[in-house]
Amino acid sequence: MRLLWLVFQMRMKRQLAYRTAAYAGIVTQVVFGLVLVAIFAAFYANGIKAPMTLPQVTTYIWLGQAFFAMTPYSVFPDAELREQIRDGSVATELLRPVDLHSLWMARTLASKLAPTALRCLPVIVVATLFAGMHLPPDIPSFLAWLLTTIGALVLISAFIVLMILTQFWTVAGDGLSRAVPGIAAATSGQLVPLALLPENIRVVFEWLPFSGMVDKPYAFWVGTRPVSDLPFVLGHQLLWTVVLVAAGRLILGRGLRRLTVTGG
Amino acid sequence: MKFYIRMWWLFTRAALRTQLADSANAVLWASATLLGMLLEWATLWALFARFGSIPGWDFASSSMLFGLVRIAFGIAEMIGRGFDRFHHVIRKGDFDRMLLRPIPVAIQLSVAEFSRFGMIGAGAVAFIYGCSAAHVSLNLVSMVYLAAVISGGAALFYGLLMMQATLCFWTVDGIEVANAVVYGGQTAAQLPLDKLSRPLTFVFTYIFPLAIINWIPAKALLTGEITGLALAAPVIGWLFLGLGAIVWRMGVRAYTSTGS
Repeated sequence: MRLLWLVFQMRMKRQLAYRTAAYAGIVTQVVFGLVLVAIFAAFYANGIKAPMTLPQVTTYIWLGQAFFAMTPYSVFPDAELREQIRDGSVATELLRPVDLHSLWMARTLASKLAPTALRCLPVIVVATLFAGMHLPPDIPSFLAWLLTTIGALVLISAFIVLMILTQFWTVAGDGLSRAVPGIAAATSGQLVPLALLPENIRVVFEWLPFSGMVDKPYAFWVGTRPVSDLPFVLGHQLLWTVVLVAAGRLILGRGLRRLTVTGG
Repeated sequence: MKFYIRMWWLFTRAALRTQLADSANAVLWASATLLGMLLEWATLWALFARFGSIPGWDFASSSMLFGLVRIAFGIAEMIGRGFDRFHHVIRKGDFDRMLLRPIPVAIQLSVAEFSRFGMIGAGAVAFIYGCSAAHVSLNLVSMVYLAAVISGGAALFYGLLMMQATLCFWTVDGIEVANAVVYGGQTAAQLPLDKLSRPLTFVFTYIFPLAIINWIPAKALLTGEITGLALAAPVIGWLFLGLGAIVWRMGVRAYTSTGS
């Protein structure tokens, strides 16, 4: 456990070293946020009644920008892990007396957390001051958001590690691990808040793991989900985390069994 | 020149062979991207279904924009992945090795990768749907125009990828500024330009002229009148690529390696 903590810290340090990237990221996020808000404002100008008000959607969008670095479809955090499987240096990793899946989870958690930590606050501050973002309605909602955001971070990391592991099969490339995030983006609520989707589609997306990464935590902050839903949301996140970790371990076990590292 | 084209072809063929060796991966990637893109398109539909059309703009015309911008970007990525991934090259020090080869680095980086079929395919589906739903009749003139517009759009994105790569000479890792216009632009391009706020309109018209290569041509196709700015749109895309190439050259000149 202590070792994993150290790995986590090292990763954090490495990520925090790239500050320019984070500052650049803030600019990206603000532009993107402005575009999305403009699109929704254009739709809301029609005056149709919707399950979310425009200020709520605006807040939701800005949350999505503030925490974009955390989402599974932002820039892939750990190209090194992919390379390791590809070039065979994963063999060295296997020599280490640590459980490989836990090791990679620790790394991924750190490489998701560090860039998020660097850029979430500036985006929230700018958006709240100048772009119509609102703070959570009350303290319980905020706490519910905070808890489920931590849950989301773990869930996302489990998903990413699973994606990296698929590379044991599709060696040369990054096919699956690059493309599935696109599906995640659409179903997680990052593009359109799930509440605005047609009812039958929304219900399906709510059950998929991806809503637990974006839509569910955000809804607490925005105030469209009552705090009493907290146990359900945490349960959803936990369940999927367990499933994804189990799947990851299974794949890892099988992948290692059939893995032949080339070379002398 | 002929030599360079031959070298490019050799590189590309080698890359293609690698990919064919692992075709399962390519197929997976393409189909997963296709699905992701179609889902994204579907969310656009969901918005129109809920809120109705925006005055002067509906799902059909929005689909045309959605498709057009993705076809263009997909093509640019196909030959420009080298620039897109350039920060890896810089960070690992591989750029020095590239400089040693007697071929311009730009050619080495332009090696085509046969990917992005998913994105281009989804774009084509959305675009064709949009055209038929909006009753746009494509005749020979508009087909030629369309091809020019797509090439101009691809050139525009390619120029941007080059500029993004140039940034890596200084920032090593921070390349995301470009993402703001690449991905933000693709999203923005789905709506008519005049529905965006002033600063955004300015950015996507004068700084990164995506609206000119996307919205203006789509409007021309819809109305059937290809005149003025719409006619100039592809040229503007190619000019932007020229600008990208100039910036890139400056970057390469200014590059100093590290290490002993």
